[in-house]
Amino acid sequence: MDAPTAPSCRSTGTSVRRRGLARIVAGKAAYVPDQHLPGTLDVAFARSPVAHAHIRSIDIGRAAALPGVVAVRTMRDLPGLGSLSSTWEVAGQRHCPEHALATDRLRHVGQAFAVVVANDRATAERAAALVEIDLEPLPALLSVDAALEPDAPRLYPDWPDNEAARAEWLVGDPDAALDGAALVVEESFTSQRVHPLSLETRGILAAPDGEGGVTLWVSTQAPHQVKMAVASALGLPEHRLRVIVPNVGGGFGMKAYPHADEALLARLALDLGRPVRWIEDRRESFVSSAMGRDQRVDLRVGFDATGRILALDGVVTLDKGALIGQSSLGTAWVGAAFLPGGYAIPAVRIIARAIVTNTPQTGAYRGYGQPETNLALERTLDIAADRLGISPAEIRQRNFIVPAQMPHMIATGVTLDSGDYPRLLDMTLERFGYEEARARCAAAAASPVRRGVGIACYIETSNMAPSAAAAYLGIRAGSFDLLTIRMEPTGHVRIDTGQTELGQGISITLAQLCADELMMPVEDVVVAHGDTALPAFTSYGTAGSAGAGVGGAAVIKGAARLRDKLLLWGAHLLQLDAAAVELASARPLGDEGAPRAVVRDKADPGRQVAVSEIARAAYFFHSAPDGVDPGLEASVGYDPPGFAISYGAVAVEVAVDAETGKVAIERMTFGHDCGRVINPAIVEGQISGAVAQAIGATLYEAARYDEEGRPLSTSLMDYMLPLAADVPPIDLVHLETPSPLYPHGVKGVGESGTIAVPAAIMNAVQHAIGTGTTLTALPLSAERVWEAMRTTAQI
Amino acid sequence: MQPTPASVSFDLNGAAVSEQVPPATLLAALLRDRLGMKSVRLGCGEGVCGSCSILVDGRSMRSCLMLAAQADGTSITTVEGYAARPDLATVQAAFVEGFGAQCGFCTSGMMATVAEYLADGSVSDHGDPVTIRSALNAVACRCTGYQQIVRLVAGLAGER
Repeated sequence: MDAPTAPSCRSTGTSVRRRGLARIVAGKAAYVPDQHLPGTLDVAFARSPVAHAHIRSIDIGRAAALPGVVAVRTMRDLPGLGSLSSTWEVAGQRHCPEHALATDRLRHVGQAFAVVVANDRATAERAAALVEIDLEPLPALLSVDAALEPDAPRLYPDWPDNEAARAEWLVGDPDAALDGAALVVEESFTSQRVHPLSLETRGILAAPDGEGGVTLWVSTQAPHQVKMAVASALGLPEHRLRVIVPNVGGGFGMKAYPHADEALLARLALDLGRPVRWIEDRRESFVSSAMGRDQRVDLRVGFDATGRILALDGVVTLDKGALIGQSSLGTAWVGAAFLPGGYAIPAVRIIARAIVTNTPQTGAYRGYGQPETNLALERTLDIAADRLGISPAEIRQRNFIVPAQMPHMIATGVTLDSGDYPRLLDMTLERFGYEEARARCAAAAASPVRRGVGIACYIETSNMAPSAAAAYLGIRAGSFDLLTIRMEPTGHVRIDTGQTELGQGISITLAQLCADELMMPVEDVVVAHGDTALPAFTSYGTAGSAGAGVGGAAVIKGAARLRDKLLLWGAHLLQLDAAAVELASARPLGDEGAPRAVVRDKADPGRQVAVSEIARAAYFFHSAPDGVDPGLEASVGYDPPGFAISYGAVAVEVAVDAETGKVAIERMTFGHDCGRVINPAIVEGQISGAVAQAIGATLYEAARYDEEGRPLSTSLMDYMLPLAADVPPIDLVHLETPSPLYPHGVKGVGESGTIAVPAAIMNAVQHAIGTGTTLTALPLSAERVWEAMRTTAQI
Repeated sequence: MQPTPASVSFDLNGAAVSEQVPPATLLAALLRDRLGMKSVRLGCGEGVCGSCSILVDGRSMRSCLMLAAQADGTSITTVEGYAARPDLATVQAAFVEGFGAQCGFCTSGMMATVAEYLADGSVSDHGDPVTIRSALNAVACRCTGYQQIVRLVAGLAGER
């Protein structure tokens, strides 16, 4: 989609240097641990040693007596601290209020039951170890299967069972269709529990403002939601709270929702009258932040003899851990809703359910349920293709929804807005050299290093549904953005956005969109963010791959409003009718200088006034157009019209060591369509970063627990992050189909890289080792692959 | 009973530093908390992630694994000192131009690793992507997927 007129200084579509990098490379970036206030006290938590127990009593005496300790509190000592309720609240959902500290029961190892405030962190930690707790052990449920046993003990005694929430979709008659199918593939696919693991852990600094309010510095993606949650838990009016987000060292969904400990820190700051700080340490991050994935998809898919899908019957089961938390059923819901992918499936039954267990909670992680269900369907397509004797590429082509069918509502009610799925797959396979690679792999079938090629396609939800639809989905928040664009008296522009800069580059992305709308150089636009005191609001946090789409569309709307004001002022100064002038980019007359924005006479373009002159006039206001307010400012709200669905295709080639089972990813071609690309380098960074996380989750990462529910991974020594040599070069193939729903045509890209990579790799490994043993579970550790090869050899 | 403080003297970004510290003080803590070098980031605190890596006598070292006392007599360069050193300022500029950082938390350690790699005379071809990736294995980056960093390092190698 083209801008109304093409400015000569157009910046969208080019890799404009990212904002904030100069500060980062100079060491001047400041994260929460870099914020220093005089008199700050440090916080540490006493945490549960067991997975499930009734609390008989807690004795804080020894801890409180330790020199340097300022306060020790349990939930009993904090009557002024309420709980958080879920952001996702689907019909029939059970309830478990989210408390910062345990009340009567401990439900997972590491759950906090007391907080210590001391002069320094070391003292606080020593004191936390002195808090004594008297427990009555309860049986621990460490898997969804254990929690679903008919006679299983209940985590929450007032619930009828351990199911926290459920949603169902039924279209057509899947049972009849499956009965009549030429082939039914039935498997269970598991995506293990992983840690989103931002390198900067969570961190909170809370300081009383001396007038009954609190200012918080939080490492979060969602400052407005933190403010709302803290206000509600403390019973404070929201105008007494301010949340500031300094540099954030990664979020990935883990910081997308408020946490009960943010309310606790605010309470302590008010009660003690001093700043208090908690920086999560790496070890406790494995129990105090929400983990990701941990979903199983039980799937039956029926095909006709040509490989066309007739029906899909699936159950998506999410291990929620011990808390419904903020996202509740969310990841299972989104996974289920997007399970049919970009394929035409006439009959569908899907159940999504969230089950509580005695493990730390799971929540949002980049991909938000989509990688889990993508794994199930894209593996199923490969299994079916093999059994039907057609190629993996062909079975996908036979089932794709084609451009002539767009926009297209799939069986689960999601509308695919635009795109050319068959073409992008073709483009990707051609670039990859698919047929040659498959032939090469067949030649290596008996060699010590087996080779395999795998493909997988994905769709990615982005830009959110309208706020009214969010209500229908059970999200207790809107989807909109409010922002303010102000032209300063010098003619330079400042955008106040509610979106949060996490390093993903939202600042430069918004600046580029604004600069083009106002026909200005991008250097003349700054973006302010990360402070709830700004005149801006983002109603679902910076999440859901919506920043460039919803935040960007809000910028377009605000810039258009500002442009209208500039035209009124320009016409006034040129003594013309507003209809007779236009905004343009022009070099100053008789000058070789850089182009600048001007308002000019359409009939006589040489008759013009620079926007900087208009700005000065608007701030003097000595002579103004009729009915215009002083200054040059536009505050707008933008509610998204609907999901923009990005999509893509991934092809990988792997080498599998036949002796050890170790998998190496040799190369990857990643075809994607995220609509109009604003900044190619940022899009590339989002995809390659997400791909690396997906490779980690496919081959290395796993958050495991022992038979008592104690975490086995508590450091980076036993939780393996992907390193540079683990990630292959990624060859990107771009296709741009602008979303017709959005003024700038943008679809989100932040999660794209996570979705189809696990399935593509698993398909490739299966191709490498042969189909004797069907791979269905992540991670593809060397041990698991070796075991599959050994079993296959024995058949 | 307090242990006897250790005397530590070293060159920090071109200026002489002398400090008395408890013997168990980690170099990362001395640099960050007392000397104000906040570019030293702690991602794991046990020598795995590499975010806290700094240049000690030109070698990248994990400052969370070094005692402050071990730095006695050395020359330390943190990111705060890169701008004054033309070879290191080049690395900084390449990270900016090449989109070499997203959240920035690992960037100090990543740049120290890149600086050490580029100065390593035992490497025959600094521009080889496989060699570059092997060197970058010293630092975990959770945001970039390394692709743009590998490219900018190859570019730096080509300029030398």
